[in-house]
Amino acid sequence: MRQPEPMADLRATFFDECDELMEAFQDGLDDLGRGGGTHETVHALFRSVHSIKSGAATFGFDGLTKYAHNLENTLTRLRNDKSLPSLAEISDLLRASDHLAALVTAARQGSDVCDAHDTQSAAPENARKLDIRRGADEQSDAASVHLKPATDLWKQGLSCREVLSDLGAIGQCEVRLDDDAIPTIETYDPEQMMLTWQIDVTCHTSPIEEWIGKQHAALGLAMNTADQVVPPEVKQPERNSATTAAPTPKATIRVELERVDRMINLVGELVINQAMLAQTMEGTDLTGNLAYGSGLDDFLRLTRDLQDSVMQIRAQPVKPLFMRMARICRETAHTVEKPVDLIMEGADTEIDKTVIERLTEPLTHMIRNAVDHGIEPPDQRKAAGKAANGTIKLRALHRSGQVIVELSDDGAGIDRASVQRKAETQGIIGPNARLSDAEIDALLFHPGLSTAKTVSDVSGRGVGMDVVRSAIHALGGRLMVESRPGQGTRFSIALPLTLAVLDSMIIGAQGHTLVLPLSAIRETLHVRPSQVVELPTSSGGSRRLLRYNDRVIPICDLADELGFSPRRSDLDGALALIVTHEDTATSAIIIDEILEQRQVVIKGLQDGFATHPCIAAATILGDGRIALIVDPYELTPATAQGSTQAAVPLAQTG
Amino acid sequence: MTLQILAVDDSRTMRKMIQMTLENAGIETHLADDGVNGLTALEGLEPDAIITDINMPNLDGFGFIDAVRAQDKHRKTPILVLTTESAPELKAKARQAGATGWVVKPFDPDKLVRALNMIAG
Amino acid sequence: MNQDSPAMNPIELLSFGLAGQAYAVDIMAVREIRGWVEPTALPGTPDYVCGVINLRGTVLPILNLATRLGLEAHQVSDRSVVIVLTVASRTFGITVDAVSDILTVDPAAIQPPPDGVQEHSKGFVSALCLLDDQMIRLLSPDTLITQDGALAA
Repeated sequence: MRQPEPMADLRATFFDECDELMEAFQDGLDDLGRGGGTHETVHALFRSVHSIKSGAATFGFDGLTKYAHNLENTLTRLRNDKSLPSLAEISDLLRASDHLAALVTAARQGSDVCDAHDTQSAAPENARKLDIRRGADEQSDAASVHLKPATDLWKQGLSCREVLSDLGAIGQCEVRLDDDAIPTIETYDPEQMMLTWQIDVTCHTSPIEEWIGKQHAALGLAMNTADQVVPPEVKQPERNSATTAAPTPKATIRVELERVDRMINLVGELVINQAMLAQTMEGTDLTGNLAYGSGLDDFLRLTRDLQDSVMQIRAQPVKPLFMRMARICRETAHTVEKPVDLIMEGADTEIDKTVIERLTEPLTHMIRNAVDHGIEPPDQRKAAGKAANGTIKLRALHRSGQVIVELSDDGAGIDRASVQRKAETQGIIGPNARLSDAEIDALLFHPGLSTAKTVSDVSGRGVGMDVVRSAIHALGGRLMVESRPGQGTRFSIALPLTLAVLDSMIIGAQGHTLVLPLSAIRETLHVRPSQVVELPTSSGGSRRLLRYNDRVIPICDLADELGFSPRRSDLDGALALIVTHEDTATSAIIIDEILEQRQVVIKGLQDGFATHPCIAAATILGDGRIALIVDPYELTPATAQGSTQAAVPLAQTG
Repeated sequence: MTLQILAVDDSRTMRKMIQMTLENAGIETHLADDGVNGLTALEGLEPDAIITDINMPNLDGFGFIDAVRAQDKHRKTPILVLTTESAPELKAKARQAGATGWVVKPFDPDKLVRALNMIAG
Repeated sequence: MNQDSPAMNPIELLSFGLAGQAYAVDIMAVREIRGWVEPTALPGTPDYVCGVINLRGTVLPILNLATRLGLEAHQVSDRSVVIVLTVASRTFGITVDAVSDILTVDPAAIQPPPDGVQEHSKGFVSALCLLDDQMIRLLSPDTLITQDGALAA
């Protein structure tokens, strides 16, 4: 039924509010999980679910209403309890919230009769908690269940199997599979769920109602219990079907992304134009003129404000993405029966909306991999002297004009011997090939190589890390892996901001103008010969290190590293930029001069452009020429780091 | 004379819905998102009726009704409780606090307007 | 009008000179023609990548066509011209000595290149075209960026 415009608007408000409430709900559970929650936190949990229930009932989402109602009852009991929920209860509630979120999504997609929720979230312990048992009714009955999963079911990491087996446990089932929706092979998309089932169950009424009520409310067979009560002092008014509603002012507008992008590009041009103008004026005798000067300052300020505002249109915090990953992590952990704690950092980090959307799939796969392959089974962990619970850390941060999303686990690390064996068996590498650790790690990204000893439910769907890498490449990003045996593995995704402003240092090196992110530079100093330590290398050359604050850090001659000119032999008096990473000096970059410090607009290099790994992006200077932006973390010569720590720039060949 | 109503609910959807319903019926509607803000809003108002939710942060519906009734000028203002709770003991508790009537969500917009007209008009 | 088979439709080519030879590309691939500006060198790229230039706010890679075709001795100069091409959703520039003409050519006049030329230019020349006693080498621009992984993904 088509709803009138104001109702559609109201629905949109409801779903927006649901998102906020779900987020608040999960935040509350996180607080409780960390021991930071109070009784008020439990009250807030209750209110979130309560609001979802009221709204859902208003719009007639019966499945959602029913489930929220049950969850609310559970929370009422918790609320009336003097003690805060236990960790086990929090874990159940987290899964219940996942289910609730799935029901909200299903309702939003208009498939209220569709079982879009994950079967794992409807765990038995959850059912015990949710007090929905009706009086035992031993009467035999039949029920018909129409199961039509969302087409992106698998992408959400869900499966129908348990729904079917659950039903099978309830009673005699007559199952009809409807595969009419499967298209011809030309248009077949194997990642889309095209099947529907019609299941006739013969059983006792009570179990089927219970089952529908507690676990699969989204099937749409839940009973509607919302009774209408009128105010006691008021005579029951007659029902009048003519209901209309006044339109309300809209807080948001929908704009085509293309228009926003065009605006972002234009503003980028404006920023460059402004810089050019400023530069031109410096060459004239107008510099001393106050009116021009302040006019130009205003122009600069306005341009920046404009740019900031425009950027905010597209930028969004990664939090919803992280929340989704938390859900995937819990589900996976539950399936493979490994207790895993997920730590999230930098959820407020803002990334371009499109980038966030396109990160979902690769990150989902990476999270599953981390739980399935990265984290060891609890007994194995205990034997290795680790906590039984594995820890997975998901982190987002801005660095060098890029967004970094890191996923690390404290598992066993990459089993390099096993990877190499596998690669040999599959003919990817020759027998007895001598590979460095980094080279072996890079094999993980080779199409078709999976190291899981048994193909598990979770990551046995044939999507390999090569697909993840392609997806990251498609975003213009890079994927790196580092691993330490016994200690864990860390994957880092470095993504360019399609357009962003970078506080930068513009430098000269052997006649080339280059840009470095200011945030990376701790100090600049003139090198004294006594500071330089020269170490011979096996290849006949030498490696130079700089004494800096009681440490020695590798020296990187920028022009040499980039192939612009041979390495300078004499470093006496040379200018060095001390680059730091998380407060640790990592290298000294030798340059000729610092030209200026200012903000630059980041311009992406063309997709798949094969260039030096440290060239992350480019910018356009005031004179209209392009200057390359150097990522100093990629500059540190790999030989200067422990081999297991070295990030392998896997994308350097495009 | 147009009716003037204060509606207190912590759900944005519900506030919007009440506002749409009432304004469409020509009722002047003021909104607040919890009990405390409801009381603040009430300072400058003399509404013909008040609609309130029960489950709200900071000050819940019972507390809000209690505080409204404590004020002389609002001693007789009709208060409708609008909530999903329909347990008799909760109704009793609301009545005790001073609620005039009770409407269970989801409400029929038309019914709500009629109820309001009846208790306030 | 529609009786001609598509193969018989005349095609339009942009011809240009490089190292004393005449070359041409399908005009459909040509986006614009620009004067020479000194590009910013791009480290870690093959020798035939001159670098990148600012094309109205976007970063445009420039290939030294002479180097790319193996005509090592031929240098770019201030008088070189950049032809901006868009091939398979990638945009890049190639350096040539001078742009000559837009030619309308009967496909019948186009013939496969003899082995000698093929060998010399690593397959970049897809065909030859004889026009007014002048032999024009028809470049296949996609091979410029895909052969040997130049800019390929």
